[in-house]
Amino acid sequence: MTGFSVIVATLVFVGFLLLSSRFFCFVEMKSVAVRITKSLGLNIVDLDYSFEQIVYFVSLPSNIPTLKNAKQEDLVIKLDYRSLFFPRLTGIKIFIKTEEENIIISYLPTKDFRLPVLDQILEQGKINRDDYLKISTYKLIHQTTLNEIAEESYKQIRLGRNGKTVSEEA
Amino acid sequence: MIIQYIQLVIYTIILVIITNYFRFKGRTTFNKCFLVVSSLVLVEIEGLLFDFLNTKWILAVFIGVSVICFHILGGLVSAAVSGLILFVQIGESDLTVLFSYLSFAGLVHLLASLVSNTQIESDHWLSKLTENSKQLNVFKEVSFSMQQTLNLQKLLKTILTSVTAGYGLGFNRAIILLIDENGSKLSGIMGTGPMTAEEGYKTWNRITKSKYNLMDLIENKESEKSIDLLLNERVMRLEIPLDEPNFLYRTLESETPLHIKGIDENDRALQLFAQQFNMSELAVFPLISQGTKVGILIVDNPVNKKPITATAIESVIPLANQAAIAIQHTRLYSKIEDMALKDGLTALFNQRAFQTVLEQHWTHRKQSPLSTILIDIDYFKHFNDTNGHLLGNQVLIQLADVIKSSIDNQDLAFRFGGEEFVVLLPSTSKEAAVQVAERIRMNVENTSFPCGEKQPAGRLTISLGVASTEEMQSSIAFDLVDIADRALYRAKEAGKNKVVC
Repeated sequence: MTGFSVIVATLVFVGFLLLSSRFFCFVEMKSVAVRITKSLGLNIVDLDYSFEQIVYFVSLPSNIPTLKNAKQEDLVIKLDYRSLFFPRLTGIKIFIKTEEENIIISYLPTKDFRLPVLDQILEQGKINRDDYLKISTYKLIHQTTLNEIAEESYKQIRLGRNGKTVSEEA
Repeated sequence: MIIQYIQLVIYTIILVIITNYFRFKGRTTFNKCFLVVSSLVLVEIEGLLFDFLNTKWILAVFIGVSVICFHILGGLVSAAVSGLILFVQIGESDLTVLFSYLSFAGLVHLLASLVSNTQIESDHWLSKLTENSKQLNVFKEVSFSMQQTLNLQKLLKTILTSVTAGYGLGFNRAIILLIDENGSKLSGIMGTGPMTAEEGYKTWNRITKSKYNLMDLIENKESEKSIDLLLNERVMRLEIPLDEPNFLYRTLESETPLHIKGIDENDRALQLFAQQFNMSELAVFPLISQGTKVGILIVDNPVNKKPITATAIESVIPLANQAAIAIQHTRLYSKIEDMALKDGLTALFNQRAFQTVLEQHWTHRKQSPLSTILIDIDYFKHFNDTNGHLLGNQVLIQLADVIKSSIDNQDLAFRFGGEEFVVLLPSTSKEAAVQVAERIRMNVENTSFPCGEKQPAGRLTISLGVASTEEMQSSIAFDLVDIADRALYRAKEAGKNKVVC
């Protein structure tokens, strides 16, 4: 019966460690990001970024009926993490959810999510690359940013770069 | 016993919370060390609660975590530490257990490597997929944009924007030089990008704030506030002869991109670029269309100082090839357009062009007057009969030059046919048009034409008829020419070498 304690201890330790690591990682990232930006006199929410590094895997605007007829609420954003023990956000995946499957439409790699103000500060040596990554990652997964990215992706698949629908372009 | 289990669960959860709370505060090594120590604490908690009866088994967690954190080294050290703990705490010194620990560490390492390799491979594929998808998207959009125009300036802007924009290939700066018709020199035509890092950040900030996309940038939305003026001023002054083996010549000759990582002091052209544009690392692409050398595209990263990689160079090649074809087509189109609208002898626009331009200006005649001057050489038949048609042609060329030099920039001169010329004067009153006509007449009178002295008047002269929309009721554009023609006829009747309106 006492051997059972090893199983319990292992399961609780490993299970709880893995389940909570992303949360604590996020808490620490947020704390560092807020502290650094505050010390630099910046507000993370106000930092400008561009959608330019979102990579689309479908034609814009899309002519695929599932995508063409998709509603904005069908659009789902998933955070793409690597490593369970040492969570690292590699990017965000944008899907269109259907009854049968989730169709991936675009991907935004975290390393490519650049903020001009931070780049300038990095160049001036006021922050290092780790700090940059923490701030940009926090900005990326901020709900406001995710909502804006979802809106932009939806606009792109419906209207394309020129702001025209497929039939209008044809 | 149940209480011991509850205690075990509670202590383990507290341990995990403390571990996860603190381990992310440091760098990676601190994080890993903290996790390893935490697994060791778990061993001790379980031991204290269950009298170290299962220590030899729970140590596997410590070994597993150590291997995950520090790979083989972690496995070896943790196996040794586990053996030591067993000996110190329960007095067991069995080599078989130590061997089992090492075997377990090896197994965990194998599994961890397998997972890690799968992840690396997956990351690699994802990176390749995003990279290629992005290039394809850029290529599609740029091709589309290139197809929309036959205007060289807009085409060049499209090429430069797609190379420099974040939506595009992401270089900080790009410059295009085109080869002249003789193929003897390269002339700087256009550039996009900053002269300094600070300027680059300002531009990027503005683009980001405005949320411009690639098409917006191509469609000139940014250029209204363009601060690439200094760059373009310097680019347009560039004239690089191709009779010396400089880096541009070498790129064109080899027909392959050239990656320059340092400035060669023996290459004067390269030194000029380094000096004028503060270049230290650059990539040079030949623009070649169906074997015809069209020009050169130069890219560099003066803002973020990002090294130019072989992959980045590869990504530009399809775009450069497409650009070369488009530039060549645009140039040919422009040449054909010139041939269709210009008079081959005098290089003035021809009557077809005159009709088009007249119609364009005719629509605005109510807002501002439109005037025209019809010009005819006096006794030109006599000139040709006396001196031959070849000399007659020379006179036409010289006369065209005199007319061009006598009119303002906004006025347009055309060869109307034979020895007749017409000048269109937008936003010009009849009175002002008469003054211009008189200036032309006097300049012709004072110019020495070959064999002009053999003309009946002792010199070559012209007659001019002036008309303006100010006094016209007709809604037909060509009636303006008719009125000028009648005035010209009266000038001839009145003795020639006169302006009549």
